[in-house]
Amino acid sequence: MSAIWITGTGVCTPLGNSLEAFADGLMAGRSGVSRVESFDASQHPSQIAAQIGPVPTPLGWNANDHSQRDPVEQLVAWCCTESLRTAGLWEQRHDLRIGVVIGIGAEWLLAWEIDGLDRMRRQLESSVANVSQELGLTGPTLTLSAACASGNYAFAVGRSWLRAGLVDACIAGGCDRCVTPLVLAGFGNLRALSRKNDAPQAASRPFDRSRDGFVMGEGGAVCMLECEKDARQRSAVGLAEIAGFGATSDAHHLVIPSPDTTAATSAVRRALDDAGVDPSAVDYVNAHGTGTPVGDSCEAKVLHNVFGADAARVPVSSTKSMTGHLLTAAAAAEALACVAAIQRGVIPPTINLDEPDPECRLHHVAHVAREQRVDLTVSNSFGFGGSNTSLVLRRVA
Amino acid sequence: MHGGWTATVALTGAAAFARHQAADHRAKTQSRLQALSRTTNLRHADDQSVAALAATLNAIGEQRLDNFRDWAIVAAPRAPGQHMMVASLERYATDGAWGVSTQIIPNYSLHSVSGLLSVALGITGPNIGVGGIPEREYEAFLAATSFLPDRVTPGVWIVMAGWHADMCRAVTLGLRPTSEHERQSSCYPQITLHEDDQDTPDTEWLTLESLYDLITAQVDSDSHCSLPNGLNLKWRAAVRVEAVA
Repeated sequence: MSAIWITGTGVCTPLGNSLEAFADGLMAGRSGVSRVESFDASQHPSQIAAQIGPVPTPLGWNANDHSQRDPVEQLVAWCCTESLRTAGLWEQRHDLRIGVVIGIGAEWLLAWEIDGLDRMRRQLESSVANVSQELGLTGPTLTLSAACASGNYAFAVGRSWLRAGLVDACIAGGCDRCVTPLVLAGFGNLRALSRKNDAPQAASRPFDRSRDGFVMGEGGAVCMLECEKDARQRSAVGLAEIAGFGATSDAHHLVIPSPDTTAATSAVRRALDDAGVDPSAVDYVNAHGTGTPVGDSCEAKVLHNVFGADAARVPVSSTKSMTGHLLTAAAAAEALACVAAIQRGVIPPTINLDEPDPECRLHHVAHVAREQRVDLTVSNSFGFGGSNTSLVLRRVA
Repeated sequence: MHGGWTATVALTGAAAFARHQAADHRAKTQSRLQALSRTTNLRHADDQSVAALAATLNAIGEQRLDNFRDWAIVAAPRAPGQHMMVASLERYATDGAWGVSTQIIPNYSLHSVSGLLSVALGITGPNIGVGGIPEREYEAFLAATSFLPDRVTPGVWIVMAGWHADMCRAVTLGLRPTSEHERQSSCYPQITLHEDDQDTPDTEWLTLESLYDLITAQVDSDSHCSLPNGLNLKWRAAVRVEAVA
């Protein structure tokens, strides 16, 4: 089967709006978390988040029109346009069958919240289809969600479309803009969020003994995917290869991870099998690592199941300590963190990891980035609905 | 035909209820789960999730749930949760953040139907939600490309659910990769996703309602559905086997 390369990226995150800016922020150990200022969150259980600024106007779009779009559609438009531009396919976009697969959790709920009670009867539209149409793309479009695991599924679908010959190239990733009054309250009331409101930048503490929940984030991250032979033919730069994907479900609970780690372990093993590599070949694990008490210790068990004694060797970090949890965009953003690690030979850290939880004993890259050649990465993403996914990225030879 | 895939429609199920029947339908579906020794509580589930579960139970019929443990679930709801959103906006206005229900995120997101099916039926294969917008249910077939051509899972449950007027409908198709033998002749219907080959006659858009009619009426002729961006879905009816004296 043809290898699938990442040849372009579109990024809008709390740490920056390009792969370079995002990677700079990660490698510097910079937190994107602050108190929520976009609405009055003073009565919310959690009052902090990693928010993005205004979404830049994409190449070729009218700034006024862009600002009138729904917030999620702005993200989709920016990220898709940037992925075309950075892949060098902007001029050719009408001549190729370019598909679009984006993870978005519930765009209609966000639309209804924006509209309010008076205007909830508008015709709902697909942001992904709208953007694809406006860009003049001719491949299929798909909106999907597996909650926090969505981006990894989007990469898997994009890869399958390329291999099935349905598209010539495919934009895949995730976009989410859920830092809204109702969603912040909903997650807060679920007791899923950190309540360290007085210390926003220290609140996201994956694997730390004092972690008390995740910090919401927002943003978008997408990749342009192409078959290796097509990318080579046009001398495109392969940023990384989508080498393996594995997915399972806990079948346990809609919100709580299963204490039985069999299914999650199986997802990581399937991804490694799909890539045709042994766990000993892995240079870096970007953990799901949300900072919830239950989730982090479950993931540590999963990594011990997969790596065995090698768990003491494989560097692990959670970039959510800096970006917050981008929900349906999280997996895609974390894949880009892996791309950055491969490209730069630097592993991003888990910041705020002052006292690692003994239940989460791993080879943590704490506080500061580490210089190290990275050829093969694993990125775990688990989500509500019991979804477990793992993505393997490989350096392009 | 450049690309695409063909799958065998091994199982089908459908469910429908009017708005005034929703509570009764929920109770019946809960009882059916309990009869299978499944403990998932449907109290907070959206009506579309309940319909999807009932349709899938109908498709499974008398078979053991374990037979489908590793299957994938691809579920396409239609914007669930409007009544809950109205209630949440009202509660937020009167009671502030603490008035917002904890149920809205787990039960009314795009992945909520597939997640509920996974938990309720003990299915540990992949589960994802797709589409979410009315008349984009066909996206489930696009997503199934991840699982069917490479036989990543033994089968895929394609599930669609949604309200139209005062009726909530759901349809479930149990798809599995088609063997070479079955490609020639099969006693099961087959679905093919393929690029537009110009010879395909113009046909109606594929929707939940059209698929519901196709299944419940047990149509025994082939049909084609156009998808946007140059793709088609072809439904090939099962070969009728007649006894010869």
